[in-house]
Amino acid sequence: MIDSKNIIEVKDLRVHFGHGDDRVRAVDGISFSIAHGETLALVGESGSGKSISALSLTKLAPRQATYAGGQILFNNSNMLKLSDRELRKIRGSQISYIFQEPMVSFNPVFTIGWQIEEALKLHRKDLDRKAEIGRLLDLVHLPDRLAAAYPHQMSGGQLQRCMIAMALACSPELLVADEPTTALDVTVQREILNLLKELSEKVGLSTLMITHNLGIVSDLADRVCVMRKGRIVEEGATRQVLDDPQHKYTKHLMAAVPRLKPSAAKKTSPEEIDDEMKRWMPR
Amino acid sequence: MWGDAWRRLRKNRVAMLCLALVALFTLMAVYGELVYRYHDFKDITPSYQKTHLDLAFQPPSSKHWMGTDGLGRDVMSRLVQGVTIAYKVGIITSLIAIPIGVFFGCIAGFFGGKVDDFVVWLYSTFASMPGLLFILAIAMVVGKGLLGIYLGIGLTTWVGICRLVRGEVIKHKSQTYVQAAQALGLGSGRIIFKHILPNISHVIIVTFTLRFPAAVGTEVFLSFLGIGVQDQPSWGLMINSARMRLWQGMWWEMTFVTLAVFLLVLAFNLLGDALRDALDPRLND
Repeated sequence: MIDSKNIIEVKDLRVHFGHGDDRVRAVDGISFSIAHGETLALVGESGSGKSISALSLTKLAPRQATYAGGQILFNNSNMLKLSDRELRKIRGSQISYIFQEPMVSFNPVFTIGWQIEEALKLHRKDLDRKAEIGRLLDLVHLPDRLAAAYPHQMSGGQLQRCMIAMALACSPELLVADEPTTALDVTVQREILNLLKELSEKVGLSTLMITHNLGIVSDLADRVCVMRKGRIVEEGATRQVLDDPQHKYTKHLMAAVPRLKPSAAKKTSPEEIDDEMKRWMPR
Repeated sequence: MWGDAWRRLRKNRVAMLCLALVALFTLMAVYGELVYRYHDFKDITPSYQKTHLDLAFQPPSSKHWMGTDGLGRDVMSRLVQGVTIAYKVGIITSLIAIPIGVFFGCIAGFFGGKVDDFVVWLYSTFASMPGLLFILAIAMVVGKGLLGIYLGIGLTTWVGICRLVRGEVIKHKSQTYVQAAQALGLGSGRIIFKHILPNISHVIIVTFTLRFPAAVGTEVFLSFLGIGVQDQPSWGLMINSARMRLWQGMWWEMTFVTLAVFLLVLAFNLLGDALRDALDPRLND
């Protein structure tokens, strides 16, 4: 049974690629839960299994992946046990996604409006779609004339806003944002993050935020899970983890954040980094 | 989208010239079909079939713009009938080949695995049979004539389209917009045919505009060999009869028929290219 304050609970999830000796344990027994209205950040380096964990929530991981064990409890059902048809009903309507690169996440031959309409058509049948599209674009601060624009006519920031509008189209309960700002430049990143923050307060969304940017974490997340090599190495409230990291890998991640004034950062000698690398990435 | 494409196409003069030529050929085809139907309905021999031996081998004149053939029949009206047959062959074979090729290519590319293995096996089997033999075999079964040509060409040429579409779908299915569509909860069928297919429609249009003249060429060739059209004035039959007298200086029938074939093929090819450029919203704006 799922705890009533949680919207989703992941228990001992294992996702593997390949078989036998070649098997890669992309996600190796992770557990976390997200409470209603909470923002959880999943932090880690590239290849640590963040994205696969996020995609696994609705079984969207690539076909080669096998779900080797664990449970994903959402609305009292185990997502890993559901049929394709049942999963499709949940995708987009109850759990929706924002992807890393807005420029390629839209179908290039259709207008933005058409693509938002696809989501509406599927999950909300009786509705004035034109008006709803206008309302959604307004929600992400875009003029509704952009509904008639093609993806290649828009900037990355505008497209990411459209992506958010599309993700919110069916008022999902859980939003999974897979590195939503990685492909954008810093000022646009700021706008998008402010927008996400504003929306999660306005709509009361629960969010799973995948990122490797600790700045985003400190701004947006209520709690953090630090992932490395398919495992969660540290978990806790954002302030607690960032102010007083317990695990060496978390410290390592924090030391890697570039700072404007180097003097403010903790000075690390090359030898120390080498030592740390040896300890954490034994060859 | 279509409005934009049309605006871009209009700027291309060669394309507009080709479009005019294709329109002209289409008109001729429709006219030819109407004439044929009319005479068929009234059960009378149309003028292009009547023989006037006293008028044989007349060079082009004001009465017969393209001269007359060995049986005294007007070359121009036979040529128009030839357009009708060429169009029928081009369109019907495409209507057989393209849906088969697109359907199998899409499901093979998207689902991969066993489905892909089966489709690849199927088209490899078809591709390993010499096309002409296959057409001959079909012509043996259904009898000589247009039906054999339709089925023969249609059932052998889907292989190329299938390969192309399969490759394109494989390329597209790994793109993020497909993942985004899956994340929205769309089913496989809708993703394949509503989201991926429009992205590869330029491949299909270009394939059609290449397939069409190729089918016309095959029909001309088969009729020339005598296993195609039997009693109607096909271009292949006209070339076959004209070649006998060419060395005696009867140049007009051969010239005008080959010119018609040349123009039809050229116009379709150039138009196909221009259409692809115009239909792709990423190419220019």
